[in-house]
Amino acid sequence: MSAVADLVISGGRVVCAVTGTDRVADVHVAGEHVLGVHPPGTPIPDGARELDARARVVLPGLVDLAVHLRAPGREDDETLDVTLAAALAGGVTTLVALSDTLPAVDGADDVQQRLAAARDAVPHGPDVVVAGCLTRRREGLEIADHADMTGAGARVLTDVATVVDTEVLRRALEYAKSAGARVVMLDPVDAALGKGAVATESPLSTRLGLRAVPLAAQSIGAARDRALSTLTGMAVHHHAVTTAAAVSQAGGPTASTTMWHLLFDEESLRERPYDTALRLWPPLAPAAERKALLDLVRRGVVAVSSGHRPVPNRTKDLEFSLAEPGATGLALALPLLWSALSPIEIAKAMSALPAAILGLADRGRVEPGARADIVVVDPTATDLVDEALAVSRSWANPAKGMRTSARVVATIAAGRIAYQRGTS
Amino acid sequence: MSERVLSVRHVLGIDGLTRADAELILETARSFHEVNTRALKKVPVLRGRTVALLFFENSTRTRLSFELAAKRLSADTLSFSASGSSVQKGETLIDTARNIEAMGPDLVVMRHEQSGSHHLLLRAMSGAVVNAGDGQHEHPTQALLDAFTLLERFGRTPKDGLVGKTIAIVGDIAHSRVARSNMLLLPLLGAKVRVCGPRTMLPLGLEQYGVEATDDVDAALAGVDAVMTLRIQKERISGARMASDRDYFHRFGLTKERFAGLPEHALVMHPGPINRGVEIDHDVADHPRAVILEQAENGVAVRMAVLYLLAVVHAKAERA
Repeated sequence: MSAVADLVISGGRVVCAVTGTDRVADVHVAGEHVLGVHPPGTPIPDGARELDARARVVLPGLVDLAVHLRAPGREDDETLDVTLAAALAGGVTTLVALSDTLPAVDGADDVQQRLAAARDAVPHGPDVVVAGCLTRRREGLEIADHADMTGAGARVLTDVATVVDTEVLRRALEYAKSAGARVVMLDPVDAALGKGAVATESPLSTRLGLRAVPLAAQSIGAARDRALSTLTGMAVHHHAVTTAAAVSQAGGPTASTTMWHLLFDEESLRERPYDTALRLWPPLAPAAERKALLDLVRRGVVAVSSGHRPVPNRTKDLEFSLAEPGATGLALALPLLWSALSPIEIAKAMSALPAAILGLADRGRVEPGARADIVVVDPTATDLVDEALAVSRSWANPAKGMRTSARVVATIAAGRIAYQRGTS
Repeated sequence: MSERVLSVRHVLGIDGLTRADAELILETARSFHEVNTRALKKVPVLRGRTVALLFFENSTRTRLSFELAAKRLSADTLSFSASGSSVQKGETLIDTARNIEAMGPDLVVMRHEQSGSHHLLLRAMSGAVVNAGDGQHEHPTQALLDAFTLLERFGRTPKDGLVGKTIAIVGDIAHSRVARSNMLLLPLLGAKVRVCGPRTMLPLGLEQYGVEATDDVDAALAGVDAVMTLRIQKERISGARMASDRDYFHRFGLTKERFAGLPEHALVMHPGPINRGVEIDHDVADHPRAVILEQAENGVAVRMAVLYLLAVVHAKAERA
């Protein structure tokens, strides 16, 4: 680390959930790291670039736990450079690239390819944390080559699907532990109960005649995984929970939900019946579940991801049950969640907590020595949620046509201004 | 008196219809029912109009009923059924709909195996859309013809409605679009409705319909004015919803004994097709108080009414 700042983000309201900071300050960056957080007006070293952040909020860069890449395999729907550009536009500086590409991330070669492809697509872009398969080809039958993959840089292992066979899951967790994986992400849904479901079981699913999964399916799946995590000693993370009942509040697996499940619930489906923009996985839950989950997010128990899962019109403009679940989210998460969460709650749920879950001690915070991953937000600007704002060509999402409540104006990734947008 | 019109431009379900809409359809159906008793069963009200019949799911009686209804109104019909169609070649619903739309139908009747598919169809169609059954969601014309049959048998007018009458619906409520439409329409007309089946077939939230739900069939049938038995739709039932046919029949079926225990005036209804010996006893299905064939007959008049009234609404919209 050089001792002199080469970038100063000046005059912004600096918010960090780890240090508890929430005050106007100048952030001095040297090379890839934060050098110091100083009172405003601290002299700016000669030659340092100044980023004026007055009337802006300065947060640690977001760490997104669940990004479904469309490359390789579905580049027509979203290329890797677009995914990474969307991430920067949304203030995301670290993202977990899930294993469910075509082909899946099944071995060391795949891990290396993903890392290299990300570097090539957007040099100095977000840090891509590659998730490898927990079981070979995500089939839930045999243990994938965990050690090869962790050796090549995979921190996370996941099938992005329920491992049905409990014996396979137990052994896979044990092996993952020995192979040095940091965390295994599991989908906490009992596979049999959730089969074919496109809605959460409720009076509304009855009314609309949609095949539905009871919320108990998540509690059952979560309870199994919790017991197996204890048995094997392997850290487990549940991504995309939609019910507070599936969240362990004292030890046990960590949990995250997606932006969409915090912002929308099945009341939207009642207002917009069969609107496939609301076809998500997991399906939207009743309003009471969303509120309980939002409370857990505010209390810092549950992390929030974008759940970025771009779906093209080709597979969205179908009958509700046949439409592909998912929504684009990377560029939209922070601007849309701004109205639901306070800056410090965002810093916790979308940066500090996910960084801790991934065991990345150098980020999720704004303090000396931390990686200089920073997002600068204009809390007064709003934008229409349209194709340009969503960045992706496959931009179907529940908030289409709505307005955001804030705007990302700059994203600094490892000390470099990787994204910058003017205020109109 | 001003011309009465429907408050809706499409009939996608009973959901969305007002009591006045239901009465108007049922009253109009009475006039067409009279037409259907004449030697010359044709009226020229839809002459020059085209009715497209899109059946993406197998259907015999509903398709024939709508086809006959359209023809008796002197409309031209355009018939499409999924077997041997482009659907099997992978064409999407919206593409198929756009192609049909290009032929300029005034009215579109669709049956589809997916709940809510009519919402997608609306995006491609400028004409009026009628739901002839969508997945497990609704089958509004079936409920209307059921109500029509009940009113005729009880000697009531649509305005009288079904106040004071108790109707039991027995069977697989969870998978039944007929049950959903009837749970909306019959209470709208003032009837008391009880629904009954094993708990595997009673979905969550039945209270939203204002109906009583029970798994005790004898309690459900006590003192009813009519019982509607639903077909056990094996093609819709996945996994462990039901034991054997025999077990179901003994516990939930309309057996001779249960039929004998009904009030003497109580009617037996069934939307068809019937599984004899599963939901209803063979002889009970043929009993004079079983109005199953009247339901089929009345279906034509009810569908004529729906097509005619929607054509009126659209003609007014075009003039405006």
